[in-house]
Amino acid sequence: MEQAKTSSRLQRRWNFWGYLFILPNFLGFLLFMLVPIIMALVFSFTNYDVISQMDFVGINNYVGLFTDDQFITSLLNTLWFAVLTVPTGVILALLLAVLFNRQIRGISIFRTFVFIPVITSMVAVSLVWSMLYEDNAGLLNTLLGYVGLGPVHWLTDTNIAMISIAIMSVWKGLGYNMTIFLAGLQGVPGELYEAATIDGATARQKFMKITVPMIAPTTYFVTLMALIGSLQVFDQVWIMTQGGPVDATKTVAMYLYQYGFQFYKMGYACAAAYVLFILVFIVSLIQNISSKKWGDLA
Amino acid sequence: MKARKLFALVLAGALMVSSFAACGNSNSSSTASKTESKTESSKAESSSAESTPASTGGEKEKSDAKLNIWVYGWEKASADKIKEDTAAYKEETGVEVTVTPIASDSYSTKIQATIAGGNNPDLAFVDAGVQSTQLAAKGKLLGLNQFGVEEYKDKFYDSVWDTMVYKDDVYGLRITSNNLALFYNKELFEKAGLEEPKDWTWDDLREAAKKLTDPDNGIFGLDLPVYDKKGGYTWNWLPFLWQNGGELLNEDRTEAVFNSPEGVEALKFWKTMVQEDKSVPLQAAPTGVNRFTSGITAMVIDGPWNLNPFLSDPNFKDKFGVAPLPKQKTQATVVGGEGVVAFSNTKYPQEAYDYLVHLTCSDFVHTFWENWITIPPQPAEKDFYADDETYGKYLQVFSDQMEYSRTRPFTPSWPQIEDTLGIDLQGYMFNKTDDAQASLDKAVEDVNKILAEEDK
Amino acid sequence: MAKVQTDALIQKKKTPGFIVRRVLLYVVLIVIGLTMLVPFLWMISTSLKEQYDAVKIPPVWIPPVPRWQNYVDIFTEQPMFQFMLNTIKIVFFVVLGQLFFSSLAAYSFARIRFKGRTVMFFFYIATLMVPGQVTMIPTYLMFAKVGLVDNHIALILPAFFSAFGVFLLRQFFMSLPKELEEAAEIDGCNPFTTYWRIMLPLIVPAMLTLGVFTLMNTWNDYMGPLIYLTTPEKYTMTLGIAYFKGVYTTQWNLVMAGSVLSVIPILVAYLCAQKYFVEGIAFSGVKG
Repeated sequence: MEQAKTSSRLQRRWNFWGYLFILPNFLGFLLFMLVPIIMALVFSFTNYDVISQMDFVGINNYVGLFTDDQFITSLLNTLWFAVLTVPTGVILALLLAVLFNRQIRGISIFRTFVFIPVITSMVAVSLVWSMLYEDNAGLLNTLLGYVGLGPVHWLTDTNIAMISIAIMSVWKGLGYNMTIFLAGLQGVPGELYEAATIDGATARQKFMKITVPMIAPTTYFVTLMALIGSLQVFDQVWIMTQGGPVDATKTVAMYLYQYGFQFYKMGYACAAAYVLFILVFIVSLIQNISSKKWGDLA
Repeated sequence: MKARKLFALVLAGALMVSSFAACGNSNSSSTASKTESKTESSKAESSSAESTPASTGGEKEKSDAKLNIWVYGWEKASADKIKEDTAAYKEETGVEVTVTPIASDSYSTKIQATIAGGNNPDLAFVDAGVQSTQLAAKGKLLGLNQFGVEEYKDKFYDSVWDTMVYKDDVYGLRITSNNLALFYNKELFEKAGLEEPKDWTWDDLREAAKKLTDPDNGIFGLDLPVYDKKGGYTWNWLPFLWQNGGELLNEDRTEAVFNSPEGVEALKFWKTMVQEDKSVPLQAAPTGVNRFTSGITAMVIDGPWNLNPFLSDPNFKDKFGVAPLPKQKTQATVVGGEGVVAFSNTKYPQEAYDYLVHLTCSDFVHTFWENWITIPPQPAEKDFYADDETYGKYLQVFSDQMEYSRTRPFTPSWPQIEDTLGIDLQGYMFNKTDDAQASLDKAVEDVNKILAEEDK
Repeated sequence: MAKVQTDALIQKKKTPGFIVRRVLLYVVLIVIGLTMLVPFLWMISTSLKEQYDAVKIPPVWIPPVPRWQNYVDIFTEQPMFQFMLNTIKIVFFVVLGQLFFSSLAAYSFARIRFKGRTVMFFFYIATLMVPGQVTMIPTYLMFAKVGLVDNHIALILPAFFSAFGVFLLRQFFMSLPKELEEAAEIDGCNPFTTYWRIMLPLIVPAMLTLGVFTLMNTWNDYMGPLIYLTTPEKYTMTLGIAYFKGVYTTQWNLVMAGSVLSVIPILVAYLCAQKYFVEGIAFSGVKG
């Protein structure tokens, strides 16, 4: 509406300042992000192996991908991981952020505790969680044993392994998302809550009617980044399960790393990356459309 | 002419002055500590530095070549010795060698990237066979036949020599080697009333593993890397296939042949121990060999690199022993280790070759064996560790195994073959299918597909 | 406003239910906190173990004799101090550069209605969806072409430009009320001074968050330094720590000592950022 009324002089002024602000970043963006990404797209139609001359192979790489069981499996595993981690991770992080967004004694210590898994080295995290997940002497199965349950084959059952990885990943990433939410909550004016309190709103109402809509841009950001991150998951599976047992936790990122750097088939790996890209793109479009319900966010 | 020389001299002088100035500026305390450590180690090692023979020998004109070599890991002890040796080498031949330590994690990615960017070194340590075959097939390595490398063939075990051969040319020399043997926990053996392993067959191994297994105390008889897939699965299963008279690929390495009755037996043997006897723990990878030192597993099949960690543990150092792998139809174990390769784009091929020979065939190579606790790849040095009080009795077992140790059938796509094989065989182990023959047939089909692509 | 809040607190404190809830809250917080700490504590305890005790099953939680020597060893086994300085230098420039360049672009995307901004922003987001593994080699080749490999510039310069940073800050700029700019314009501010003096101070919590994340990512980056740097004098801490991981065996105690050391700066940065979170509330409360 507003845009229609804008005079062309104002628009020119906006253009001038807008481009001026963007320019430094955009030049770097072009050179260090867009150019490599386009190069990777070109590679995806070649038999590039990084170290020798390449030949164009048309869409052979893409055809090869969809006839490879391993790729289909990794694609499905990756989607499953995203389903397991994104909603839980985002909702838990938001709840924790709200819980921690108050001025009580020692709160910053607790916030830091939740952030600590984020900075703990992935190797240490994987080793400790592997011990927790041990079939026989592991802490989790010992605890389950006390209440007459289990043992659960956390990492050795092909149906459960990905769930176990997902639990660990949500735990590790909680502090990361919580921190972003906390920063978002700082922008919500305190008066809104005070006014609501005076009007007799319950805590639940305040959360749903004030907090959620006010931090919608933050939520959009956290959700989209969590989605992108989960579809590119690599470290935890690489260290903890190496994609196993069998191929139950093999992800697309792991698949393309193996092809690009271990099997010397970078062209093929780039094709896998672009299939992943299209997948992320579609999923995030869906997310974008559904979040439009909360207002124009993207 | 004269003027030009003069100019060069002035320039060199200026460079030297400026480099001295740079030294003066640098942190004095760190310089002091560096010199200190150098003199210390030079005292200890003066003998080995002196005895370095020149591979070419004789009165040769000194070269002004500069070589770069990448070594993995940074272990102070060997790093210092290499520095000393390169100084001596320069004195003798004029060739200036710069040794750069590179972290071993993702080492091959760095090699790959730097080759693409044209910044690769002249020489590098590589995982013998795995990386060398890949790079040789892409034409990135210097073929050594042209320099008459054949003269050193007799110096090495055949299995070790073969790892560096691709399509009739030799692409490097081996600096270290190792193989797999059976580590066992003496205390747990005693508790189970078992004799220490001697001339074992598969049945002996299986029976012992069963007897050692004690579910009430959470003890397993044997650790097998059933979960491992970064090549570990194939690496450990191959000896069993060979012991049973099976082969992975045909002689030309163009076709997979392991779906033979021998292969089926070897695969079933593992699964019986895992699923039926429950004498092998099914566990995720990161805790690996630590189960053995923690007394959770009584036996583990592993390599000599574990000796240092095992022997440094005061609670464990007297509790374990090493035995050869069991035999079935024949004796066999698998050989691994490092090789040194030269890259085809080096400016100084002859000098690179000479240094490669110096590094792997002179006495200086002993430094690597001692510091890395690896097995000499040279039969003449079979008893290299025999008199060593700490390592001797263990390493001799590995050294004796070298006679019947075999190389993996490397092809340019070996890493992919290993990965596929691991996934297919694990599918059987983790109960996705219960048909060993079908699993092997599928694995053979997958491997053949990879091999067929190689020729394209 | 502050007065209203205290009044509310006093009112609440009178009810006995409040005390029960507070206690419950602390119990929940402590339980959450502890479950978060376990691997971190293991990391610290392992950094003080002998090598052979490092990865025992069940784990040794308290080393019988703490081996403080590990923290000396990581500095004497290799020039870790030099590596640390290199890391600090790289991190310093990257954090400053990324905050500046990202906030500038983010402000523009969020508050200035220039032509083509939707399309441009769309491209920024799209780049986030391509896995870094496939762009690593092309970027390396570009730097190799201009001879800037084995140079810290290759690690610093590309890190200035982060689509993540732009996206994050944009979301925060977007949530600020429009009246602020209108008031600034009446006061005679041009868009740059509005951005710099009025808007930027309001998203300090977001800037700090991005700063901590950037610090963390740059400090822990392994693949970048590994493939770019070839002169040991230029190595970073992550490369130094990786030397303790051998081809066959790993000195976990030293790896963990190194990891603990690299966590400290991030932890300190996070704790400092915490303080501003609380101040941020008061600040935006007054303004808004």
